[in-house]
Amino acid sequence: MTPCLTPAEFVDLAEGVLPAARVAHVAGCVDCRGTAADLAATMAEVTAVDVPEPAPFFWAALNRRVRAAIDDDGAAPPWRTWRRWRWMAPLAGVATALVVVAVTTGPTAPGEIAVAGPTAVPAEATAPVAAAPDGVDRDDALALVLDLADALPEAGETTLGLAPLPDLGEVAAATLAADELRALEDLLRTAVDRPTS
Amino acid sequence: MAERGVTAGAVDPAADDAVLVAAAAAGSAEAFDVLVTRHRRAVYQLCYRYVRHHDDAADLTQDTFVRAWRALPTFRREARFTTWIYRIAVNVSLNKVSARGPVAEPIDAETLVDHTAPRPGDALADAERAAAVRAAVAALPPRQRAALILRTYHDLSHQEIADIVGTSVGAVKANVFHALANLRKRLGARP
Repeated sequence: MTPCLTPAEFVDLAEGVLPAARVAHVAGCVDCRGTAADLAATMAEVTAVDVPEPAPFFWAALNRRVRAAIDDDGAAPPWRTWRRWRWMAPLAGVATALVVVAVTTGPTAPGEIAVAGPTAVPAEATAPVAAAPDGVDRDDALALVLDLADALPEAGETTLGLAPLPDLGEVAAATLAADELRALEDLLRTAVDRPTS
Repeated sequence: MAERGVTAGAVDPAADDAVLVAAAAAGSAEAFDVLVTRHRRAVYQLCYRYVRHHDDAADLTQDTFVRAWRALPTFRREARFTTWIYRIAVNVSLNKVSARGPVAEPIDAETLVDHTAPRPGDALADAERAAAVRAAVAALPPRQRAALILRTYHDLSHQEIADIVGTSVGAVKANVFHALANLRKRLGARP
């Protein structure tokens, strides 16, 4: 009887490169057959486990982050920091547009305030709000943001030739955390409270 | 790096790694960007198998490529770029893991569950089993883990793995064997 396979030979066997003479040993050895079967089964299972695929935008963003880092000699913030603040970009755009609209076509009297956009928020948009895990009073902040958004006039969208804004309620409910909602709330308050000339 | 500058110029996206590495080492950020695009998924997946967290894997992937850019002038061209970048990725991942310690993989149903599967219960069980396998792999001793990951998921030769890990071909094979044996013990047979 030839000696049993070494660990390295078991790997060669699994990869199909073990010399025939040693393969013959496995055929006649119960222990080696069992070990080889276990090894093959485990290898098959491990091989089948993929890494979860990141969101599609991630790859291009990664290139940009690497490029920024090498352009700035590694001074760019890491991915996590960038991700934490990325919400500010669209938020700032929306807030700027709202401020422009409010300044240009602000209400002349409380009774003349136009109602902007749909007032109903889809159930699926509001559901996650109640279940916000951070324990912050996100419901109240969202309600206030929706009220303030509704108080903004909508005439400016057409008179200024601006493209219609996305439904703020849906965007806020679906994407913003409590502290982000509070930031939006402050911006909207500024827009609504600003005196018209 | 900055002093190498970011040179503009036509870069053939189909050029082989050696050509791109030479151009990048001479200062072409465009050539390096092609290398990043070509290898980013493999590097991300390698890092993810160590840290099992997207944000950490993304940070490590970025760090790997930035370190590679800085070290390009010292890259010995007889080695494959793939082997070299994997070596950097393994090192930055090991540094991260050793500094932080093991963590549980977040169970993100949106990411892990295939919603197109006809039987959601089976999909969830598969996702849980996959997470358990990744956790078991990440808990292996460093050399076993590196040998298994690089051989199983990245199809590197035993010699290339030996170069990365700094050991012999025989030791790499033994590490793969013991890694699989440890996983078998830890996971048991698939139910």
